[in-house]
Amino acid sequence: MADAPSGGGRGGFGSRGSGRGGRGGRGRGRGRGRGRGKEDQKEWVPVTKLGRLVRDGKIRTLEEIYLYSLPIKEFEIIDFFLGPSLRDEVLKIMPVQKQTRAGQRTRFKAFVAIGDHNGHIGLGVKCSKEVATAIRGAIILAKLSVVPVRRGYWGNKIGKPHTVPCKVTGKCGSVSVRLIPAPRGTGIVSAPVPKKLLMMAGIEDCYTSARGSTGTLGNFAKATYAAIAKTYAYLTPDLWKEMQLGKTPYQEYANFLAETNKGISGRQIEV
Amino acid sequence: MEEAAQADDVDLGFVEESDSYLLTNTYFPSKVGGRPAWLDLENLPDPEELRCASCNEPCIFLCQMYASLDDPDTFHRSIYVFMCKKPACCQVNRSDNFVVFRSQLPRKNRFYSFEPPQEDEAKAETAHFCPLCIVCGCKGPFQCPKCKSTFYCGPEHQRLDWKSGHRDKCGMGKASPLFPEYEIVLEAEKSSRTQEVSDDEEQENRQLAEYQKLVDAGKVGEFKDVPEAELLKFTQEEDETFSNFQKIVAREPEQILRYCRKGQPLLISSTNIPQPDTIPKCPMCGDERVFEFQIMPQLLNYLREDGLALDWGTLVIYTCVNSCEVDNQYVREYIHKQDIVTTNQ
Repeated sequence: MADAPSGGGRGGFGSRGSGRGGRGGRGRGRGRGRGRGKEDQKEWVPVTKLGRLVRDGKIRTLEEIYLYSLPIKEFEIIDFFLGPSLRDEVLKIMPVQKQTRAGQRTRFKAFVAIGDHNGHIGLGVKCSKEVATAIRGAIILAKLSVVPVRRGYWGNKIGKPHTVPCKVTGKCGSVSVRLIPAPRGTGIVSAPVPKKLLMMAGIEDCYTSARGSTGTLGNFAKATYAAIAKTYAYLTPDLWKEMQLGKTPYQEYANFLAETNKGISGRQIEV
Repeated sequence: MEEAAQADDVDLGFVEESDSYLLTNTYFPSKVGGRPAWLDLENLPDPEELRCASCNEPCIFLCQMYASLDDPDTFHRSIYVFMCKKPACCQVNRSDNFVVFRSQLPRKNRFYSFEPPQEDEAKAETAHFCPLCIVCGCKGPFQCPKCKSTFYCGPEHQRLDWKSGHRDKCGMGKASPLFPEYEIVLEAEKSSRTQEVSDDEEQENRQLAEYQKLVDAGKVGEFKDVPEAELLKFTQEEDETFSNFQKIVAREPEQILRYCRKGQPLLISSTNIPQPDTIPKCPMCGDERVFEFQIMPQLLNYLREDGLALDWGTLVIYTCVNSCEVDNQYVREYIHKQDIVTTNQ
């Protein structure tokens, strides 16, 4: 096995040897409560570059991250922007069994949807030996998969947006699903899973129209999802005004800092 | 999900602010940033060897680890990591801008005393309490207005110091390319095995009972009859390697280093895994290199680097299995950089 690095006194006087008796006691104690029972919130130490940018407050909204399609790997990022408004809901818990030599092993699979009823929705699935662990893990994965949903009006622009902004179609296999704006009070006319997701995202009214072999449930669901994703891809008249091509958060700050810091990290401004 | 098998005796490194005098080579420190505390004081690596492979400019000291082994020849042993932080040199999944050196000495050598160094607490305390004049060592209530890091007892000594060289050195601190200096403190990682429930079957029965209770209470979700496949179409693929990394790191989120000689590194991504055939053999003795320690991305939070190019997923350092030595030279070792894949699949 490894050469027992914490063996006292064996070889060396440094931090891992015993020559630092006085130090050992002081070790990591300064300014941190150690050995206190299980503290609820350990402060988040980001691991990814995006996490560091978010924690330093260099990114103002979640939408900036979506705009540049940067993958989110740390759920604390979503918590940072949407934290208190997110509601999670367990959609399904099911036992799954695996055959082993010693019989059957049962694990639990949990599906959790998370949304803030205001334009963001995510769905996560986790399998684990314990029910509670599966639910916790699924919530984290749901947060990582949060996507924005654009809402618009059916007719008069009174009150808050309540439906899809325009007719959008998603296609998968032979199935094409069309989401159509609906007047207030219609509710969501759709299959159960996308209906739930649309509701949690904050869409109140929507017609759907499907064509193709909708019996293939997988394709049907994927097509609906594709249609929802297109709500932000559709160029509506109010977006016709030309917008300056923006820089990714990484580039935006690299330029700013290269200008203010003279000579440290070299002027590498990409065009 | 099963936990990945990890060697049990991993040492975790954490950064701590420390007095500068304790980070000098007399005390055989493990440290981050500042200047390197060389072990073998005579045969230092040439400046040519410390140049970045991409841009050929000098590399900056990142960290060093005091890691002695059981052999009498390796009573003192330090590993030094240097890097070039220019954005153009920091390429994804390439470690050209890093240089790693290893140095070792027997206990009886001509640089250091045979006995462990004594920390001179008394000396430290007095300097701490109030700043001293850099010229005469008396109480220094005045400070240089420009750099604010040099103290004087009065205008006379300030003028004297300015004339005799501070004028050139003043403000150097801000323009210094070095990383901020910290000490690395090691602690053993708590083994996860002890926290696992030992009796699997009993636990499983308990969980099944709990599940049954939920079914009876109607709490298994409104989609309990919807087939799993339909729900799965709306979910993202889970990055399992990264999830496992996060799970293990979550026990001690502030760790910046994991030491486990001859163990297995904790991977952060499933791409660019160091394979045994990509790790070059030791140029001195021809034997293979083994994993020694890895630097975690949390260290980047402490380096206070404003530039955004400096990034890594994990830096894995491999050293010669024999810890061989030739003529008291500093031996080059191999470093592998694994980045977190940032493009959307």
